[in-house]
Amino acid sequence: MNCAIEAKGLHKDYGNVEALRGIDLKVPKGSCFGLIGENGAGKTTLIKLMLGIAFPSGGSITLLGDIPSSTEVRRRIGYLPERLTLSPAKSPFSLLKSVARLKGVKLTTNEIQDALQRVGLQREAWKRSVGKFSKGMKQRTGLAVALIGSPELLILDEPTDGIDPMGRAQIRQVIAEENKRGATIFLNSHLLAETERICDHIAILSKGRVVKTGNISSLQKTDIYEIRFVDPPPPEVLSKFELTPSGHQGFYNLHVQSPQALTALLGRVFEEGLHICELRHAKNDLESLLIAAVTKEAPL
Amino acid sequence: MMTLINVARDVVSELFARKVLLALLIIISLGLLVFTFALDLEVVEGALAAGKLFGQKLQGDIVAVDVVLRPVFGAMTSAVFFLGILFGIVATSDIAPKLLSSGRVELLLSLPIPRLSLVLGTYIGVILVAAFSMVFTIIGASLILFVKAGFFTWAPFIGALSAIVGFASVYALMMFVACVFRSAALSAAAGIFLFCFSLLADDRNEIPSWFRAEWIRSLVEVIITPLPRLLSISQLGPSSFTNDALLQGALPLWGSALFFAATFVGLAAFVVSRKDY
Repeated sequence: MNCAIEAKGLHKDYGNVEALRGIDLKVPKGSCFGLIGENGAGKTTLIKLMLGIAFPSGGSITLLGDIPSSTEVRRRIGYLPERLTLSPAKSPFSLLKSVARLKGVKLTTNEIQDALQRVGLQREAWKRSVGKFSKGMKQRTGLAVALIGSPELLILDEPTDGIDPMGRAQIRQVIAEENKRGATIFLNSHLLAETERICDHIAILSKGRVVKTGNISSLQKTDIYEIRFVDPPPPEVLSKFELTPSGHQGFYNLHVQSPQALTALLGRVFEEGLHICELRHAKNDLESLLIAAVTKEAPL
Repeated sequence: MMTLINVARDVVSELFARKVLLALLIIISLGLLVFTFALDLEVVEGALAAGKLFGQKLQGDIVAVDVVLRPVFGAMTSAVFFLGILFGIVATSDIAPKLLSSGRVELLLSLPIPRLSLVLGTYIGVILVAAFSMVFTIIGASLILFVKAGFFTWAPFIGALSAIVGFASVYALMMFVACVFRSAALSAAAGIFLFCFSLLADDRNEIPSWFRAEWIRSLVEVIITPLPRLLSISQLGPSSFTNDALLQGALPLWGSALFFAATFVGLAAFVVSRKDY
């Protein structure tokens, strides 16, 4: 696999505290990869090790085939930190100019304006000092900074934190566009619904270990179908077909191993004179996947 | 090298955006304006016939301009040295701690900037701003005296250079403290402590003689010896008007202060290069 990020046996200790306990992770190039986990799972530590902001106690990590401390690699990366602090006296305009200079990227005035417009920052805010900005506006500025130089790898730590729902949709669109352009996206977000919407791969981190990783659709896949009848079936029918109430109003769970088994089972259901008004393939949502992975319980 | 220049440029633009530079220039310009109006000179054929500063007579008899202006230049270079360093400590104490603050250092370290360049660039940027304001003051004051008395000397520039070297040594310690503790208050405290203590410890025998126990005296000597001799350095500017021989002592004084600065900037770079943020 062509990897944008590859970690092997990554360890990080802070004194006696083991923040990461042997992380093995592969982030495919061009993917949109979501990192999820409970508080203190080690997500931010992992990101810091990726970027060379902190040093590993053991193991190794490579980004775009090089070590994180390589300045050449960092030129190809965009990063939005979780608790972003921007120089309060500077305007977004001068901030972008300054970061572009530090990154060795030449940006014209028009390009800066386009970048600020793209993240939804109002024109009147472009030359105001960042210190007077709301959290959402700072976050948008931070995203514009991360996008400087069309990076091959975008590492976003809670990118929509503090942004209103309309703004979130706008940010999601920017992320999708970047991914479409070919950039690999590495997203850390507490908003699982957002991760589910944006990402095609995920890793679940718990107590400093990757407890689950892979393609999001295959991880969400189950052998359960949710079925809803026109009229509620009598209890004997429910037990006959081993139908159990689903979490959704009026739906029952149907466990089948294959589409053939499903067809056969549905035939028997029709024979009972029951009328089906809705049938859908149930999938694990990220919340249940996360809870199951963290507590080691089976999902659904 | 370009990275280093860009980091320094970023620090200068930060100070400019925070209006520190503007405040400095306004204060200096106001000071120069007051000086212009407070100085009243009447020069006849290279000699001062009458001169007043803040209403006080500068001399009794007709004497050469350079002789009369010696105390004026002396006061000017001393003011640049002491006030410049103190203002510099206050104005720049939060620069490094803010750059290294959580949420900001992560972004900086994710950019293609080696950690060494981050420390050196920040240091150079701050020193450049301090140097600019000190040289600006000296040029301004020298121009005023040149216009009023037709007299020019390079001696005040020796004073400005001394002030820059003095501030460079003080800020190096501040930078080191900032890199270790990421605190503006501790950084400023370290700067003020070094400034005051090195003035007191200028005579290397004075402070050790306060202690009776031999081992304490030795310990104090070990602590005092590497400190920059700021009082002696501050006197280089005023002294250079009268005694060129004193300038021969300038190089060792500047050299030891710059060595002190290099040591602490090196230590700061070492701390930052190994630290997890």
